[in-house]
Amino acid sequence: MAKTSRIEIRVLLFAHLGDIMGTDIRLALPVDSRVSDAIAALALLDDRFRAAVKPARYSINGNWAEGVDRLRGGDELALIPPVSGG
Amino acid sequence: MAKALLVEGPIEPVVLLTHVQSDRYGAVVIFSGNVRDFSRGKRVLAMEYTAYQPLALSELQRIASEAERRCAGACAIAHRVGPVPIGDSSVYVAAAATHRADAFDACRWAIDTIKECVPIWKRETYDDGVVWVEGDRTIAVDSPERDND
Repeated sequence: MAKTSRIEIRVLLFAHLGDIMGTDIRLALPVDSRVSDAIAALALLDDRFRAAVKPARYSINGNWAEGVDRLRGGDELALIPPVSGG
Repeated sequence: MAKALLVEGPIEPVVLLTHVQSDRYGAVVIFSGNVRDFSRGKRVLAMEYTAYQPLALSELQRIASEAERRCAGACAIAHRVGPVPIGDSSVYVAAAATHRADAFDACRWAIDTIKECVPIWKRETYDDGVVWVEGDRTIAVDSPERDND
């Protein structure tokens, strides 16, 4: 039962978020976790991340997402700091 | 049909020009964003662009399509990823419309929106360090390799 109560997602981190946490990590979360739960779990790993992620936007599987959106096993969550292309 | 590209290596603007040109359009505007040798009061030695490619490409496509709707014309956008030499173009926007005002407006709107929305980041190397550019901020690069020293 314990095995089915958790999901694993892939988290991609860009710009200096990647310097802090690594650019491509796996994260195990309880089922029905939201994007905000993933952020909270990562913040427990590194204090710098907690402040650094505040201005970031989110994407799930290549589509813009919000903190309240739910995650499913195998999802790709991208954390997107303010951009600077052009 | 709007065209959007992410490109490793030099962009050939003629590709964009060819895509937007038509006998229907009396005006073609091309914007080139180039890498400067001086930024934020510092000499720039190197520039590299990183993208979240799936979302960056879909955002560029969305912007090109909306630019076409705005000018009732054609739009093509190409943005480079990876290292870009000083003086090279990092982005081209081409817009074509019946008259020049609509082409200029669509081109301007597209590049402004690219700079606000598309998940691409500059990594600038100065003579005294390396930074990420995130919006209006620069943040010193803190590489994991350096932590392990």
